[in-house]
Amino acid sequence: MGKPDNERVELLQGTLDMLVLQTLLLAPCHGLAIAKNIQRTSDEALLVEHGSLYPALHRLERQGWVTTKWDKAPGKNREVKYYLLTPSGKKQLVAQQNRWAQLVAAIGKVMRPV
Amino acid sequence: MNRKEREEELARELRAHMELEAEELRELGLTAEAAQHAARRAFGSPALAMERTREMWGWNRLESFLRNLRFAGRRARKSPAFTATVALVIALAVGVTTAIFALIDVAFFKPLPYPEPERLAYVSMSFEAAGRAASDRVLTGAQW
Repeated sequence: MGKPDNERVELLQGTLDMLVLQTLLLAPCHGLAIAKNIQRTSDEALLVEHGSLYPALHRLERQGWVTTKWDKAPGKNREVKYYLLTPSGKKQLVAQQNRWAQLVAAIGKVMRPV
Repeated sequence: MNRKEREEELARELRAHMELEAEELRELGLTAEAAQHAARRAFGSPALAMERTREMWGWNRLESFLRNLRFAGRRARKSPAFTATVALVIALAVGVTTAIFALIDVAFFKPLPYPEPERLAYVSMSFEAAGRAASDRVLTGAQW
């Protein structure tokens, strides 16, 4: 599926939390949908490994930025664990977006086109 | 939630996702077995995912240990007289024990602070006069 490995970019340390929160802003999702959504919206450039997704989700839950609920998957006879953004998660997302914008701007200034 | 329940929930979550993925692949026309294999490949190792998540819980435990420590500190500050008494008793006990052990170590176990201490000797003479008890006299090196 998707791109060959050399067209993938590695996730920067600490950005996965932000991507997950952003994904949950649109709608509550289960873990698999979060991973797929990040892959799809990044045109398959970002591959979310499950080995880092679940620790991230549990970390976010512990911080109180998301809550969880077991619920039926639409059209399937199967229960999956849904993650929902909390109000404090929304605040955290805004803070991380701001920090991210600052970082991109700062790096952009240093890496001027030669 | 205790650790076992959390583990079970995580395993259940991973299993549900794996099956969901396999189902979707089956709907695309893969055989059940091929779908299962493809889902497993797409996922990477579920054991690794469990392990990484568990690692994070480990930090969790360390943090709760630190929280307990802080709580103990707050309680100790709240009743300073009791805390001082306990600290004093512990300090005295440790001090006395250390003193006794230090004394016994010097008196019985450490060799004397001279070269070749095993060659040191104690020399004395005893006299026995009639009707009197024996009396000892220590000789100096020169007298010997």
